[in-house]
Amino acid sequence: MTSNQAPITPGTRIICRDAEWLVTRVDASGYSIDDFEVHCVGTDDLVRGHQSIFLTQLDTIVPADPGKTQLIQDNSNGYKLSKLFIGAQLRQMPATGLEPDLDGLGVFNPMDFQLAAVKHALKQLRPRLLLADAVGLGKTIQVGMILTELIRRGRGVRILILAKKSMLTQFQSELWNRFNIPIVRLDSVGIARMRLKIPANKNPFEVYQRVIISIDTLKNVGRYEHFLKRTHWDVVIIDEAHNVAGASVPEKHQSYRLARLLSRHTDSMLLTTATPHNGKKETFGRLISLLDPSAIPDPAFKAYDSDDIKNFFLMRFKEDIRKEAGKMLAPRMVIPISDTSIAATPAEEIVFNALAGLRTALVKDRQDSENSKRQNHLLLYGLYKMFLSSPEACLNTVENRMGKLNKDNADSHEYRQLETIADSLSGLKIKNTSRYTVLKKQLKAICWNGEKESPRVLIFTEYRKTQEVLASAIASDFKLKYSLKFEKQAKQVVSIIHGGTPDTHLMETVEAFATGSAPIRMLVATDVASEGINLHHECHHIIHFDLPWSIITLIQRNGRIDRLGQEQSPVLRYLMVDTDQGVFKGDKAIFERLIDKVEEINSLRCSGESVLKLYDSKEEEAYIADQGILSGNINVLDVPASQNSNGFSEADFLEDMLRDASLSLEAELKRPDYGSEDGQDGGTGQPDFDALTPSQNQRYRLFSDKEFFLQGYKYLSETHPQAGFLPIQEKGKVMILTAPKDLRRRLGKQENPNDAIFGATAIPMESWPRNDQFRLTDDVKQADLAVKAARNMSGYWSQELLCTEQHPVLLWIKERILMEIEREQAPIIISNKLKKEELCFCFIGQVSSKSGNPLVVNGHAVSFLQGGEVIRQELSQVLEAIDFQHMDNQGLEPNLKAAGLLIHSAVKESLSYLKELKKNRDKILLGPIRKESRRLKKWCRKRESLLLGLIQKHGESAKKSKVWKQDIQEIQAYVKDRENWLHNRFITTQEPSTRLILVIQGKE
Amino acid sequence: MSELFPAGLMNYEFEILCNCSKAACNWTINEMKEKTDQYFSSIEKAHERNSIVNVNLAAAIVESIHSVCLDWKTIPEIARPWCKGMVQYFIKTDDDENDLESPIGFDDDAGVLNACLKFAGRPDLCVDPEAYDDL
Repeated sequence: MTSNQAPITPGTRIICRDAEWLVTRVDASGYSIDDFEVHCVGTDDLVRGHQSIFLTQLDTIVPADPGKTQLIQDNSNGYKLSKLFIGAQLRQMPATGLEPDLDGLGVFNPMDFQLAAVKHALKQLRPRLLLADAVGLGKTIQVGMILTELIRRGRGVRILILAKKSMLTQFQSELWNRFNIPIVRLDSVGIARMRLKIPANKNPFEVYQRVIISIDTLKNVGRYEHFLKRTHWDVVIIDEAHNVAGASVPEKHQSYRLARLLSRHTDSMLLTTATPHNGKKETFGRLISLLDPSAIPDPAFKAYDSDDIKNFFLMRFKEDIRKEAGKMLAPRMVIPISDTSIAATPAEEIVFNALAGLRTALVKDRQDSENSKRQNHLLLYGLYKMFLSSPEACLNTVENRMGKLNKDNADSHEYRQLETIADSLSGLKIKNTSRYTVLKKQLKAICWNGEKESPRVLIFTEYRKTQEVLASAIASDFKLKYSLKFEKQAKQVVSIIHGGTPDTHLMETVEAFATGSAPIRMLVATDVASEGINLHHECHHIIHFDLPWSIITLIQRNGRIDRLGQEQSPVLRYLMVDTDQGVFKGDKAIFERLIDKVEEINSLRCSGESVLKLYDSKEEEAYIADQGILSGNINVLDVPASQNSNGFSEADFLEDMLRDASLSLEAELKRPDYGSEDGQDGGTGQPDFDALTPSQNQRYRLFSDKEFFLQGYKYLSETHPQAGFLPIQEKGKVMILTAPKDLRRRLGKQENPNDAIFGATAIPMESWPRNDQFRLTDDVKQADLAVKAARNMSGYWSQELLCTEQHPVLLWIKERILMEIEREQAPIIISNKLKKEELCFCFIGQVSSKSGNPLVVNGHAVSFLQGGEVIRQELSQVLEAIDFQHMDNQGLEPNLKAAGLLIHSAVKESLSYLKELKKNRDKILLGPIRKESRRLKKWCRKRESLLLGLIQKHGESAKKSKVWKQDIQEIQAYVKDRENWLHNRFITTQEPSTRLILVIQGKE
Repeated sequence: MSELFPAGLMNYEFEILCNCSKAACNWTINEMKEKTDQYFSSIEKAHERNSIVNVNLAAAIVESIHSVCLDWKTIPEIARPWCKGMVQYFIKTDDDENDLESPIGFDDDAGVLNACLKFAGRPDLCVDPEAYDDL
């Protein structure tokens, strides 16, 4: 393929290496703008179903010449072949408009705030967005919606998702169950295993096109860097992205380096987190710079304003969407503290006295001591906090500490105090504690007895020891079988998960807890389960057995069940023990204030972090202990921990700026003319593409997805009786297709160990249906019920999926139908709705960018009327006018010769129409491209002058100056790359391409 | 016109302009016009082949240059070498931003033009590149 030849476009049939192929995608090959990778699927008997990529610089690729199209009479009954062929062609057309059109593309109920995120992402030249919504607002759903739209545009073929280990299955199944987006999970063992099956020089990240990997696996940049640098992604998604923002020395932070590397090798990037910053401008700035290095000129990411960042993030809180969410966000209920509090037992009071003695002595000592920092927090409040959890947790630590001291100094004052505490704790077990008594009372209140009918309860504790003894105590009290073994957790009534639980068992247990039919009724979790995991599907009770002294932790814990989609009111219980010991008496007020604060934030437009502005749960704990508990200050939670003399901290300024930026973007998103072409482009620099090419956005279809699925498959099975296509069974709303061999292979099922890996179209094997039977439905409610049923019966993977055009089975049918008509052939049919001798040539044309991306895709028809007049119409208009869907085939012979003679003129007319569309497209694209180029240049100059200033200040020979000089070179290279990318992605090629797909001859 | 040279340019732009002024110091007004028109024809041809060439902005620059040529007598003596340099800068394809390859290929030309026009006391002829972003 040379530059002066019409570019090859998806849907084109080509000849390469003596075989015939259907082009599915075209990409720049990265070496020259005239070189392309042509992704194909084989169509002739030799290579049917095989997927290949050809490089135009290496292979001779001969595309079909529309002028040479041979017309074939369609003899099928009711023109079935032509109808299905056109139906498939329409489905092959990528969307090129900017408006989201998610109707019928998934099992979800899009809310306005979620659609706003999709709209904003699509309006960016290069979708790059930080979704920083509060906990539980459906960030994964928004990711799925954006991915669906990108896939429709051919911009979501290669997807990489990075998530925490515990989140992999949840993310993967959500995208499959609700959006039919197949994502294959890889772990280090999986990558190693795959490398054994592929040639040594093959990049493992290019085998599967859509993968999810844990950050921990991939962050070992050194191990995978070589491959990652050679892999280009369409979309990279990083979940819980605060983990990749980098610490004080980001260059040493593996996850940050990984994210930065990926950012350079992807077109679109989505980051999700509910905690987008730690109060420092630098950290938030770094996240934004991962999305777009040219957003912030300051190389230290400290100096920026809301205008620099506002287009890159969305931050909404529950309060913002409560009204819209309605029943999907049931209001939560906190059981009054008076009901969940209990007085300490005399045995516990003895321990409190011992602990009070220890604290009084230490506090006095601290006041006397010059170096108070040397005080041991464990003794000051740690043991007390542990005792508030369980005697066993406290004793365990006391004994460990004594063991350690014994070696060093057994006669010390501390050792003697610890001995006193250990004595007071001896004989005291969790079962005898008042806290356990109040827990049982609360379990009784919700009719929990471990039986099948018991509601699911999530109990949080801070300590592993408490978790261990608590789960055992409950099991023994309620006469339940219980084992500590990891592999048993998912199968028993009372289960535990903690930081040491291996991934597979952790995921199994979490999955069981979200599965209605699983025996599990109670999950006792340490805070490992308090980030990201969805536990709301089958549970609406949380009991905080002990209280973490951190607002952040409490909000994360509650967020597991109090999230969008929770239809039952979440019920929260905070267990408390009252003591008569004077030293601790005031603490209760602080604990109650902590709970009040958490509830206040739930109904405010702010994050939990914004109260104390410490942005770290451990720091919050230390602060509350130090400034509240030990100092007897009950107002500790009412003043932020860090603020300057003006009463403002860096975090205050940052939060104000984020609020301003977020409100400003939201206001723009709500404007009805957001993104329109009147210059008010909503700050995205984006035009309204749809205004000039209206058909770009509408999905015109001949068949509903269900009809296409049923009729397409039936046609294939009838025309290929030897292929072993079993008929589709229809049972109520469900259609069951038993995958034939060709489909099984395409979807990546390996039936014997030596089978090649079909990574491009593979679906996750965990989702593979029983007996190879794919169950599809066109009823969204039914599909939603199936997702819920999966939770009840089998875990994450739904057994009935929505029949959408994105479903891999429908994609397979579409491609097989396209292959039913030979290369350089098009069917001709006769319509009595057209006048005699009138001929209408139907085309699908495309104008591509230099890198092969579709910029204009248009279905149109060129009609030659009686008297020689030539008119052009939209394809949909023509097909509707002749009532194509209901046409009968009366077996009349078309005039092949007459039609054949006009093909050249029709193609010429089609190309000239496409050139007009190209001109329109250029007209509206060039403005934003120029604006973006100008912005890049401005950023480059500003950054360059800041760096030059630093070099001047520190001297040319300074060590840092070398790094800054390197930075200057890097930013210049980056700008060059971005300009090239813009150029290749959005500048149209000189020649449009067109395909003749149908000829209609008049009969009247 | 308080300075001795056009202000507001980046260092490298200014350097190129100095060289251009030296190279064009002997040009006549007719030569300036001819060279400008000749270059504009090549821009139009390039635009036919490649739509990113900002022919509209180039046309606006040409119009300003024509006005300067027309009013040459009113241009202060001190500004004339710079104005000749500005024409030479314009007709140079590979200046700061390549005129025929970059979507903002004439932005730097407009910047240089504007600086020279202000220096020559003709800010009325300045060109705003952003006003010519669309085709």
